[in-house]
Amino acid sequence: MSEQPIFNDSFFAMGTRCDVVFLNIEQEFGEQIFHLIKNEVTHLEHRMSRFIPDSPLSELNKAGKNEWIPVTDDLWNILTICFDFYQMSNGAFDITAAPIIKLWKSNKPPTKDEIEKAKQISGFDKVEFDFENQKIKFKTDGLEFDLGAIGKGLALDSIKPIILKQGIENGIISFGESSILALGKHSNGKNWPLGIRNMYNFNKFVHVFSTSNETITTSATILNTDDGGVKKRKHIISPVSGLPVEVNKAVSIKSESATLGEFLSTSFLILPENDKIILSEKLKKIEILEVEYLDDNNFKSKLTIL
Amino acid sequence: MESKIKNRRDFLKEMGVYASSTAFLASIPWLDAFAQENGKNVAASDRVRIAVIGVGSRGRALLMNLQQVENVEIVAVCDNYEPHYSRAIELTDGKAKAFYDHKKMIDAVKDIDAVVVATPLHEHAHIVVDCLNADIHVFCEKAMARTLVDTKLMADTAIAKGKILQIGQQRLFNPVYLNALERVRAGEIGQITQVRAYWHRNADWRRPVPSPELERKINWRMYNEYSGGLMTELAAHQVQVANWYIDKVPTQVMGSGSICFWKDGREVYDHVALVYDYPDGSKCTYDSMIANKHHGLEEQIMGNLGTIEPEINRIYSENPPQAPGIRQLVHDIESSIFDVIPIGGATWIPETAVQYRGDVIAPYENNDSFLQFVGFAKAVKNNKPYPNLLREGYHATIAVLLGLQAMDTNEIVAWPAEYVMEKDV
Repeated sequence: MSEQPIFNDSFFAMGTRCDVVFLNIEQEFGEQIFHLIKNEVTHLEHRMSRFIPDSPLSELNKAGKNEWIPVTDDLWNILTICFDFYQMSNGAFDITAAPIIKLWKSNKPPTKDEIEKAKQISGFDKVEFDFENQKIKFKTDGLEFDLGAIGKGLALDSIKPIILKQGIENGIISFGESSILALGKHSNGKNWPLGIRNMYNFNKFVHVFSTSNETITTSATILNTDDGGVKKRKHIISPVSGLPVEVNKAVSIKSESATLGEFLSTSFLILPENDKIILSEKLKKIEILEVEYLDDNNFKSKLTIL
Repeated sequence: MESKIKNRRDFLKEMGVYASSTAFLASIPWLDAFAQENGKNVAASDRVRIAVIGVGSRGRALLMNLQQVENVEIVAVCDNYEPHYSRAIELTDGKAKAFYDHKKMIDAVKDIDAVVVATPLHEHAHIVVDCLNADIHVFCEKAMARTLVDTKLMADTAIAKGKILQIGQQRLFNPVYLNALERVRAGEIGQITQVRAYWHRNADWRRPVPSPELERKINWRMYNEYSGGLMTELAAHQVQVANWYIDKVPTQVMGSGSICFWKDGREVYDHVALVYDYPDGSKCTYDSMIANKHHGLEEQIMGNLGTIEPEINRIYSENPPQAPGIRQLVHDIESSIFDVIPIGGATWIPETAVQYRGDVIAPYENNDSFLQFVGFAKAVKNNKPYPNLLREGYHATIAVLLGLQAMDTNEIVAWPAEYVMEKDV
């Protein structure tokens, strides 16, 4: 058995489980840091969730058409980052796309008319920013923000400086194993080897990321179920076309920022090849793993290192 | 129209969720008795004839619950307050004989099998003892009595007469509490070290009084002569739960009480905080107040492996299942293995991830006030008390009265040996 003390605990937030593992740390100190993390995530969730009726985001979502609404600093920073992401991705990453996404949650595919109607009440281009006075205005009724696609990334990026400030050097913070921050080194002194599972062969990996002070985020249209089976989902929807991504694909991103990682993993599922190349030109110190699962239980993968 | 009458079969169906363990059933004799009864037919003529004494707000609710129990007939009602007396007649469609005085009722109605006593607390003891001495089985609302001596007298009389004295601790018949208890006994939450119980309300606890001379009669819960306030009215339920789950009798109690917010002439505390010590070092910490209701009520039963919150029907593990990749990682590091950490597997599916709000203990419709009467009617029919059932109600009342004593004297009060009721074998 290892003599290095390990701290390990977890809590539930943002619709998933957050696991915390610290190396070389006394239990009591680990608990203190764990509570700092939990408080930060809870605080973020209470401010950024559209499912909490009185959260600042929910309050913002209640705004009517053509009403200038002042926005708090923290929310403003997030909304403007998301607006940048929207522009960088040609609309593929859009936190106002909830009405379109909701259509595809029903058992019956939506009609063209329904998609068009949903598109009329979504789209970041229907949000106007007053950068001088930190206000926003919806140009249409029914518009609302949903930070679900980026929430866990925001949480990891918020947690990271808090932990580092406390002198924590080595550890893992994982939201449901899809958004992971790997701090420092593994107990053997090497980078953390984070392996992306082959969804067709649960015990094998399609790639292993060597990770230190970086994050790995994954988005996919194909999922492993709890019993190791494979489930194809139509839950990644292109806000531009209003249609689901039909290809069975998973995208994993290694980057310093988990927020950026969440943006890229979603965008690379949706964007056509040309747009991905244009977007990639703006990126540095990023690794992008794209895995396409074929019908014959094989897969093809592509690793782009920027 | 669907019949509102519920029967023993419904009760057993609800009980079925936990009836797996013979050892557990043996520890809850009143359920064991139910199980033995399963499948027997009851003749229509084999009715239990019950009288209700005290038909105030609680008594009315009990009467209405009783009316739903199969093979129970309300033969008499009794209340010395005119509006309640009239209401009782109305509630029973005039079919029950009505009385102002329980002694006259006992004399006049010769074939009463059992009474339900729901009068103000200070009236319990003499009415209950009168009924027991008249060979009538008794169901008495909690708490048992205003004083230790009266409480003991009631219990001693029931035992001496071989009569049933069931106290209205309805959680003893609640499927959620019973299921949770089975899981406690099976070791699921480990060793219980603390029960943290509380009952918070935000109201003055007063009832409207039609004329000033009726103040003490209507608002009897405000006056020490008649009531132990929050302790006898609320704490009795929850300290019973603590005793039951810890499965021991407290050794001592310390506490502090005050009239903190409702300074309106009342005599009973509106704010209490106590600690009960048990022989194994475990504790029940209890507090109750009526100037804030944010936290409501709960009995948080805490073990080293988990927590049970029966009021909201939840059980929590100290170690909920871990994401598989992280579990492997921790195992590998502890075993000095340096291997790839698998991620992007089953647990990361955002659609299936859930908030950890604990697990439901048992599906349950809240009707334990009814279920306790199903149990009572069965015991009366068998003419036999359930082993150890009185013991639970008795210790709950002794506990709250000793708690009051601790608060009144500002001293730690030891549990007197003469107030410990031994378990029936």
